[in-house]
Amino acid sequence: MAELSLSKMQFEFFTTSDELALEISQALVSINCCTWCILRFLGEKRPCMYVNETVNELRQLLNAKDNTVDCVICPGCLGILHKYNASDFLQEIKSVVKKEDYEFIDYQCSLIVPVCTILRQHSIYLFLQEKHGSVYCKIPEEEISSIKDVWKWFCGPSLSKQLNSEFKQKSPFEISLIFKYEDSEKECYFLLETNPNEFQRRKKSPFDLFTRAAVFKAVTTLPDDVFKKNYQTPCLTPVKTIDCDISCNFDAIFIAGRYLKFSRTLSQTPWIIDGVRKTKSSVEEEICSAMSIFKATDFKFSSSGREDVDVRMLGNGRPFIVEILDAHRCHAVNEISAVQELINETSDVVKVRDLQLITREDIHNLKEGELEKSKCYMALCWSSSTLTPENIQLINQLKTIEIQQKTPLRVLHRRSQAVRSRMIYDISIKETKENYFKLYISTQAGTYIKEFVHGDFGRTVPNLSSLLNVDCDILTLDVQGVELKWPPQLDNDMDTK
Amino acid sequence: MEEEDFDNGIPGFEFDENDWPTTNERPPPFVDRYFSRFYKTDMNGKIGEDHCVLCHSNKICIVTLAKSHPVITEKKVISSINFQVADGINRLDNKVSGKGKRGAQWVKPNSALCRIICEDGSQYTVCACVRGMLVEINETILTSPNFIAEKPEDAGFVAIILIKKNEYEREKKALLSEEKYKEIVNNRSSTVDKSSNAEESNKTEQTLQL
Repeated sequence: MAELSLSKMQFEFFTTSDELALEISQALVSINCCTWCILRFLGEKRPCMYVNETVNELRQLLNAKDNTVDCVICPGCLGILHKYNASDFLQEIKSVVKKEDYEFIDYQCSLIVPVCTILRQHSIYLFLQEKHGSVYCKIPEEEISSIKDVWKWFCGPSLSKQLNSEFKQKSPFEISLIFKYEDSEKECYFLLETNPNEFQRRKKSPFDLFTRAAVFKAVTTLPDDVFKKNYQTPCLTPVKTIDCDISCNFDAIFIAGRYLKFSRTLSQTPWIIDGVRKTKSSVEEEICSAMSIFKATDFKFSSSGREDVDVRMLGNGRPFIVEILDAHRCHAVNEISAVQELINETSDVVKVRDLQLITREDIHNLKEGELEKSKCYMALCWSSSTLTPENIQLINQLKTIEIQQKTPLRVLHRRSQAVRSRMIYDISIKETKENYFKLYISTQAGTYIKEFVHGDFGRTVPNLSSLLNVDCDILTLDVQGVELKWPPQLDNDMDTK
Repeated sequence: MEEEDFDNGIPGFEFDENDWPTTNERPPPFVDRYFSRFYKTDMNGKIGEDHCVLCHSNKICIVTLAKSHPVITEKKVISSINFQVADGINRLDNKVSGKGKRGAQWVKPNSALCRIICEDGSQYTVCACVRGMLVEINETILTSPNFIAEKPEDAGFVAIILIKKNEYEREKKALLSEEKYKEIVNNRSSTVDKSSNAEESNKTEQTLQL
């Protein structure tokens, strides 16, 4: 057997002295640290060194035990590095991914480690400073490779092989490994005494008290002697085992478009009161049902404003966004026009156009300027007497008018009472038929058209009735245009008519 | 999704290909489409001082004079409206804020909302009829007091009250239905008949049929 030596293995440690490195290693072995933790505490920061051969050789050289074989849990990583690194665990990850039946090209992996590992690492770091101050007093704690990184360096390549997919820093498909250690919070309790200002016991969220950021900040600012007084240094070998939850998530996919609605009995979103449906379907459902090809767990529908159930949405349509949550199938992102076709084929009353993939950053476009942009309507109105040419001229010559609208009675129960000033940019009566006439009106967003026509008990002033001095009522309303340039119009959209 | 968005428009109309209605029928009036009428007669024991409460399905109530109220039947000319209903209670001071209508004055069925002062010297008190939060006082009637009689179901209403959700049914039950109200008013006019004031009662009935 060839003589093993540290210098042959070509590590890059905080110290260049083999002798010192051996001493440090022995100190770590004496407190039951696993070989991976010894490597990271020694200062090795190159992923290529965290492979089976190197780790095994180092263990032999140190004549250290194998924590897993000897059933000793490492005080530094709680077993994450020595117990959760073998092929059986990677198999388990694979089977979870397989069971969830995701379609993905590459993946990212995130580890959530118990918060007490921060305390434990600090404790070992102080222990090393005490023993080998010449090395550790000039090395900041952040220089020690984290458990997360070491796990990824060591397991990443084999996991990629198992999943037959590329491990990436950033991927829409995420595998989460959440490690849970029963005593993690308990180990933090002393911070309530030492840092009472940062860790005030709040009644509402006792679970969020010991966040990673807060604990890290507290530990690094706490004087060493105070820390040592309150927390075992070096930290004790854990007696409880750690558990791991494996879960997967596909990053939200965002799709935008415009919808048209040809029904006067279709609500925009599902309308359910006390568990009873009031409308058979909704614009949201008509659109999202075709999105089932994404096999998502949920959809979030949002739009630039909304129209009443009995109002048709015509013209170029109303911009909307669908957020597709945790999609199990992602190939359809390349076939958005097929999704649009599917919606238009399946729904009789809702048609979509300009359907396109957007990014999370694009979302603000939908709500931006929601109150500034104008909307055009056509209202079918009735007047108590047939309108005269003078009546019509009176309206048609009006340019911009400002109206004062009190919160409409039909929404007053749930919206705050206010008088809102709204602009009417354009108003005209083009056609009449006996007592009926068609009113074309373009207004600032947020104007209540029905109330403008009948006056809502004189609570919108001026209103059409007061302007004409004739009682007016509204029979039907169509939105003819929502002035929002986003999402961009697509050329190939000829199928909405 | 909230109730007010479920506004099915006016059912029963058909449209041609140019979106015109196929008849020239007038649509049922706005008030009839959205509100149910309830009544309280002889308010505070004063014969004839009938009130109407227009109830929206969203628990918003509009208090206004019933068409059998003497101000309307006797075609009184109103000189002013006084919202100072008691020392320290002025309905014009009512300020509400937020969705929860914070700061609203609470009113009981017999709480006064305002006093109507007529040119002939007669005065009438308008009461809330229901228990709830005073959401709005109609300030238009300060400047156009005769709207009260001319447009009781439009710009001449008196106040808007929001009944608590769990008290809505109870409050509505304490009011008279339209049917019951008509019966009471008709009985009243026949009593007046008997007391040989036929002309006056005819007037009342005529007005009622409007």
